[in-house]
Amino acid sequence: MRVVLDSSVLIAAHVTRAGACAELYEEILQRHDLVLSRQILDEVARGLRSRFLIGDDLIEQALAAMTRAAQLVEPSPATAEARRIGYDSADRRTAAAARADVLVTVADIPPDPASREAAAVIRPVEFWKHAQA
Amino acid sequence: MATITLRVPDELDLELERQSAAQGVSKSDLAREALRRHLLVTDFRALRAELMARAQALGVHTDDDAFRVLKDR
Repeated sequence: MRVVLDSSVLIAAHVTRAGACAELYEEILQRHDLVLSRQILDEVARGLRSRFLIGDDLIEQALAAMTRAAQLVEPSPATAEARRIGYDSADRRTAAAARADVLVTVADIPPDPASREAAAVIRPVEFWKHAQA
Repeated sequence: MATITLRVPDELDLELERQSAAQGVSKSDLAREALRRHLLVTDFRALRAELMARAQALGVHTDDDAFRVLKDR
């Protein structure tokens, strides 16, 4: 499967001792194709720096490792409908550009009715159900 | 692209042959992909050990702890 992870899932995968995120990240590294965008990586860097007080050296190492593990894509442009209703999500636009099978996120982001995105939007704990389907 | 030569046990070679035929990819492609993914996982585990130590100092142990900290922005 082609999989996009949002920045919160990526951060949780890297900083926590217990939880689904680290397990699913390893599963993706071993058996699936990870797709990210520069926008998602920037958000990861901001989160690690401001919320977890991680130093720049370690953040650079983390971003370099994620970049090696992933295909980077340029997110699709926001649709006129998304702009009109003031709704925009770089995660969803990355998933659309990546032609991803799934977007794993903890954010409550409603579908953009004007977008033809095909990715299933799922929570981390739902990943294995989709991986087995 | 660099070339490396590996000596592998006969059983591993047989397994490579079997999966190569089943997936329709060369043994070389199969071994390269397996090695690439193994290195990514090893890299991730080492990095995670360092980041986890920093997060634990902030009382972050689980996914929910991490999401809560991120949400408090």
